[in-house]
Amino acid sequence: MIKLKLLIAFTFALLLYSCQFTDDGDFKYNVGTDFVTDPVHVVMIDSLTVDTYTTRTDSIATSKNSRFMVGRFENDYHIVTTCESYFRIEPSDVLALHSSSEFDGAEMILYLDGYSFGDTTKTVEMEIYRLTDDIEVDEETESIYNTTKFAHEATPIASFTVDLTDDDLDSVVVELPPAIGQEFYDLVYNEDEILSDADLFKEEYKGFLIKPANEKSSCIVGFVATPDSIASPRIKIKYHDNSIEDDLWFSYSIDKYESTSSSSSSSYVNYYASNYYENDYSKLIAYDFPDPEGKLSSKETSNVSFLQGGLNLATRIEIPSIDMLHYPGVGSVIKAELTFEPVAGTYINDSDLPSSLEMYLIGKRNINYGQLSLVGSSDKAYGVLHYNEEFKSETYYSFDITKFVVDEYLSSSDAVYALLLTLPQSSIAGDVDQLIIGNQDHPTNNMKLRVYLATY
Amino acid sequence: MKNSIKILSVICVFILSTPFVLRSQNNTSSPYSKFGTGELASVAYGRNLALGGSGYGLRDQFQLNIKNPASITSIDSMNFLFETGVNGQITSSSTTDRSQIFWSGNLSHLVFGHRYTNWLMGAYGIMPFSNIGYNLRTFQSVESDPSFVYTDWVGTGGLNKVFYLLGLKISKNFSLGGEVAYLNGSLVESRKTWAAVQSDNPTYYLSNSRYSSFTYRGAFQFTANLDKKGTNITLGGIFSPLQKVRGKSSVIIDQQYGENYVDSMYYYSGNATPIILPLTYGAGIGFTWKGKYLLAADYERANWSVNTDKTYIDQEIYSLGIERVPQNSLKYYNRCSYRVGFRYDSGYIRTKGHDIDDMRVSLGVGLPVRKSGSMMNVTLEAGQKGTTRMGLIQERYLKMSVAFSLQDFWFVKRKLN
Repeated sequence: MIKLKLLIAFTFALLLYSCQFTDDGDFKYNVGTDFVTDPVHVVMIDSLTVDTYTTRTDSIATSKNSRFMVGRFENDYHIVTTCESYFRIEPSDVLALHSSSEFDGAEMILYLDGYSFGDTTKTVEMEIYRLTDDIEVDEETESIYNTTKFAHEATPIASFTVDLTDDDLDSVVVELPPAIGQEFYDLVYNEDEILSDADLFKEEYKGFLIKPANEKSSCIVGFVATPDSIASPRIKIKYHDNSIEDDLWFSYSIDKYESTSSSSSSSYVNYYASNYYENDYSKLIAYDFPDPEGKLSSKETSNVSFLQGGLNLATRIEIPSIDMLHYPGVGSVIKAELTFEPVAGTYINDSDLPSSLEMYLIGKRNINYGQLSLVGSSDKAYGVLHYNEEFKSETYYSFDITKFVVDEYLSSSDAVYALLLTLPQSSIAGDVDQLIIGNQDHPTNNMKLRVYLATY
Repeated sequence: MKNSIKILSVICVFILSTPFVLRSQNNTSSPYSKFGTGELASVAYGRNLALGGSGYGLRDQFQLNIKNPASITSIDSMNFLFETGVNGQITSSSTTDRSQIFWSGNLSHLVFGHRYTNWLMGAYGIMPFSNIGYNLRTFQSVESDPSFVYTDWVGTGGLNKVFYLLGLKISKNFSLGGEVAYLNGSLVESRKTWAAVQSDNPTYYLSNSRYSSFTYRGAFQFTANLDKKGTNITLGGIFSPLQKVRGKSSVIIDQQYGENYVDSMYYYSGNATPIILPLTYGAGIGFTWKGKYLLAADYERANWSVNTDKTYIDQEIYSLGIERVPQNSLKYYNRCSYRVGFRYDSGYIRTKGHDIDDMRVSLGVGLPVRKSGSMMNVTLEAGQKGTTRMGLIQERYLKMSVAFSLQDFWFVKRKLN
């Protein structure tokens, strides 16, 4: 009896003791600041040195472009960009011209594609040359690069002027010398066997070059370059037939490149035409621009660095003192944001600026290790343009480079990696647009690196 | 009789070793349980509780007054006592813009008293010492940046106290007492800190501290009869030196990046930061008038400000209680005791410029069980703690406690049967 009572009593007590309960849900008191001392502090560090360099990466295949670019532009930093276009024509179809047909004249027709870079308020004078060299395609890549030139005759066969102030201008028609036109006419009229032998034809007619006529040119103009379009560039041969009261014509079009590789992508039209892009830095720096593995410090170029399509100029970004982040104590990097501004005056409208930029992880010799991703994610990081139409001073790019800073922070070795800021690589061959950004010391458009560090 | 004590002893060992396992849920939801060892559990139960928690100057023949170990020498007619109790509490926690209701309940104590000789009495038991259960969000500004960092804090756990009291009757009027207690339990805190500029990359902090330490307390009590009609006065006091509760702790800090990428940044395993239990002393008086009315008043002070953390301030507690003493009567209601009490605790935390004080009133009744001397004490307390100013939290609570004091007669087979 005693034992039973005891057992009941203790069982009851134990049961109660184990049944402590609180009904509190998930409610969180927001007690704000100063309630307790939080040992975790977050500090924003913006004192890390960021060095920027203009660097040139690989040359760009321009034979798959849908655009010819011709012209010359000198920017505010006296870098002179020159663009030239090379192309070859294919034989015309063999037409049975009536014996009473007579040659009237020849024209080169070029359609503007709307692209321009530089001062569009002035006219651009251009010249057409005949090539003396064959246009050759890199056998391995089946492409022609922006660095390739082909020799041409000393004197132009024609010159013309493009006036971009004329809003109605959609094409230019360039009168070619009659002797040249007559030659192309005769091939057809005589049903010359060269028309059916492409190799023979290209041996005889190596191609043409269109380039800016002189150093007065201050604009680069884009022309339609795709074959098989009504706007394709062509040489138009005009004639008349006395038996028909009408003006007649036929034309020679751009020669397409027939790929020999089965793996060649069909999404690109490859053809015997290319753009040559060149920058002349001689007015900016006293020595040759570094080779693709070298770098030009922004300190030597008025605290700016350059990005440019066509020539593949990019900005190399180094953070040499990244280990200083360890000074505040044990912690972790929670965010690193790089912001930089296009230099005021180097662009007209915010909307003309590239809306996004890309960042690549590179080694000491610009060896590319791939595009930077967001931390903890496989998504790529992109630089985003922020602008405010009202306040021009608020135009800037922000780039989340947390992944890079975290990796460098956690790495025990010295910094070997750097970042390469580029224009979007998918469209880099198609234009020569420039983006000029200030470095950390730029007086008005300076670059900033903000690292948020949690210490505990 | 000896048998039952043996059985009890076995069960006691079992009970004293298991509650740590059983303690799995929070018994508080107070944000203030973030501080120190957590929210200190009530040190009083039963009669003391109803008298505003006072008890330094109380002597009771039938119930253990564990507030003053020297008082247990007053149990002179029984060999054995068992006391236990439960409580249930409803708390309304309010900030200026919202309030929330919480329920909680717990076993308040398990205590055994045992008379060894006419001048030596012991008691041992277990009771919760502190409870932790907070769920907070704080923010701070980022150094040299106009943005903020948020931290969510979740704390759970608490300490249990296993204690042994010894009372020594030096003379008819004077007793000494002492307590050895073993504090044991774990405090678990997890934090998530994230910056508003990059909320995808939070920093996680998890600390698990297991504390276990012995603490000590000394006490005295002096009593004098002023007449033969039951008027007497008792003075008592307690003293405990500054003590540190030590333990082992492990800390893990993880940095999350994006959705599922976590870097372990920091790991520590070693001694936990000791919890300081400050120098505490208190004194009280109990005055019984003609065996009919009792007045009890206590004062207690704890020097919490010895903590380097400026959040801690010295604590003062004032307790006052009045009791209608049970009478020898045929009428049951006359054999009951009726109590009323008041307690003001200045608090040991000062946050955002405000002291987190606590004020409560209590009403209680002691109900005798048959003629055994066993008693059931029912106490109702109402109080409030904290303030809603400066974004702080005010807790208003209503607490009901039921305590049983069972005497050895209850365990003894009645001879008449």
